[in-house]
Amino acid sequence: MSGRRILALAGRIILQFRRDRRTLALMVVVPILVLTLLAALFRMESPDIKLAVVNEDRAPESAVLGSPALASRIIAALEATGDFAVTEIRNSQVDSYLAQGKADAVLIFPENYTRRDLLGRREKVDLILEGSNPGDNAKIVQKLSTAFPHALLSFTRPVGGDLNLENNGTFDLLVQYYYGGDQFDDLDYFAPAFIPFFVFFFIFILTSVSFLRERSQGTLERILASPLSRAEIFLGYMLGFSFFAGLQSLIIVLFTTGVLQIHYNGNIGVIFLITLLLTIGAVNLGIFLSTFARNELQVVQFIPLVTVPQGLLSGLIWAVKDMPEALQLLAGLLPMTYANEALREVMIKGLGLDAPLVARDIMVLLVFAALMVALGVATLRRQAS
Amino acid sequence: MSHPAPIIEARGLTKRFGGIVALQDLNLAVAPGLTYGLLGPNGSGKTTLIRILVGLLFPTSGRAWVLGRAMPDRSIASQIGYMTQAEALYQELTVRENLTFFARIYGVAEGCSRVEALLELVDLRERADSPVHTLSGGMKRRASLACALVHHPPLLLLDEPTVGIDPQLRAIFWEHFRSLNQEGVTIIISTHVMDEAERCHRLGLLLGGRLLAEGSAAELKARTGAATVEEAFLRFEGGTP
Repeated sequence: MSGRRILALAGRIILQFRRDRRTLALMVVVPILVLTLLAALFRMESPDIKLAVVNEDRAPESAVLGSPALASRIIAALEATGDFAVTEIRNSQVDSYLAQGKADAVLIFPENYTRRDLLGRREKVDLILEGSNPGDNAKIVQKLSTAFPHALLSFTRPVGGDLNLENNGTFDLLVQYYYGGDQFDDLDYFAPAFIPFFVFFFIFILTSVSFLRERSQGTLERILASPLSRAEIFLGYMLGFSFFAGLQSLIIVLFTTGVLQIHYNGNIGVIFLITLLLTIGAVNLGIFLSTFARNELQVVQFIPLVTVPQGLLSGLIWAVKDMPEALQLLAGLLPMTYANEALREVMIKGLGLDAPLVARDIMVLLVFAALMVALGVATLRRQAS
Repeated sequence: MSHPAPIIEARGLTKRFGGIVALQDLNLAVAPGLTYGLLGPNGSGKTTLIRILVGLLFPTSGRAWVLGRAMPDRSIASQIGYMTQAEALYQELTVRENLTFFARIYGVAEGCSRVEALLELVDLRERADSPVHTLSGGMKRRASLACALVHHPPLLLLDEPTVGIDPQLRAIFWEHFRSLNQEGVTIIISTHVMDEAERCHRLGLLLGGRLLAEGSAAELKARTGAATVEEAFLRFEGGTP
């Protein structure tokens, strides 16, 4: 094993990439572009739900309460939540509002709503959903079902003479956060998982294509005929590619924390370490899989094979603990699952290397990287036979 | 005539790729300091033989010895210069950077001066700092040859080094080969160009993975009564002699 030869190999790879300005620029620009887009999408305010209301409620004038109809007050409360753009329409307009997209949902308060309520019976309110997008349906029902009881609670009539309706029957919560905080948004939860995803994705492409090119242009053959041992070749490549992998993970980490202002509580050094370990695994997986591809098109077809299952199962969007058992087992085999978990522990909870879960995840990533190195060396050896 | 120990020896060399037989029970001995030509059509087993001699392939059966070592043996890798059919250069790097890289992995002590000497030898000094992808095909070939020579190998294995290059450059290459022979370098060269065969000290005629015949061009012609090596080859192929 010669350190000088390994360094010569790593140095050549670095020099090659320095020459390849376009690839270098893409390595920086593409993740920044994609992360910026994601940030914009995650942070966008969802538009108000267009809610049309048919209010047929005719309340009796009450000397005691002097309050207007219950329905009107619920409508006002819904408007006050800021989630709904409320339009009052007549019953005959319901069809046209839904058909023309002027309403996402229509609420119909029946005629005796207040009257029945005063008698202690609550009449059902009809909700007609536009219904073509299940996601929207769920959102509307969810928003209404949180807003509705709240609106109703604030009107619960006192048995005694207390007319202060606003504070009666409601309860106050003093919300505190054990981890995170109210300034944490969706992006803060997803970013710790997007960092390893993109790093893995880009480094995998970079190494598999570069290594394939090395084979197809014949230089690998020349290197294999040289005094370089298989292990030296592998270490040289790993070192050279890891240099850029490290650079790219540094850029992604700094961009997400610095520019996108993602909140993180942990040590940025630990964040970087986790990312780097994952990239070493990605480098070697790239080298390993590229030996099974005959051309660049085939390498491209490996990309979804490698990245999509990891994107779906690693807890990036759906939590691993919520998955069916079979999928959880599968997720347990994917390195990104551990990188995501560790990064969330570090970035959201502010834990460090001394946290058992983080330490375990890092160990798993180390084992994965070592396994990939062994696999890569074995395939190089096979090539020479 | 004295018989120095052969620098290359093969006995019963057979290589199969799946069901395809690339080499069939091949025996070969090459004396040092010569240019030995492996002559045969495409698919006759030339590249397979060279790759076994370089140590990139294991024979299915039989044995090959190079510089007295049974191949593959990494310990003699630094004594072999290998030029593949493809240019096998890093396209983004300059000629000088390519040479320097190979000098470094072969641990060439006088790295820089050796690189300069080679640039001179293959007449690429003026284009030394051009990226390889900007060079003409002939220049790439010359650069590739220089890379194979960078560590002063006593044995050169060249797989069709002159394929697709113009006659002028081919003549220059052969001048290099001659002067290398004079320095004691043994050159194994594969070719399917018959007029090149005339320039080799000895020839091995390969067909279908078998060594049909062996000898100097003059001997081969005499044995078949042919006027040219090409004719001799065809007669051996037809089983005439």
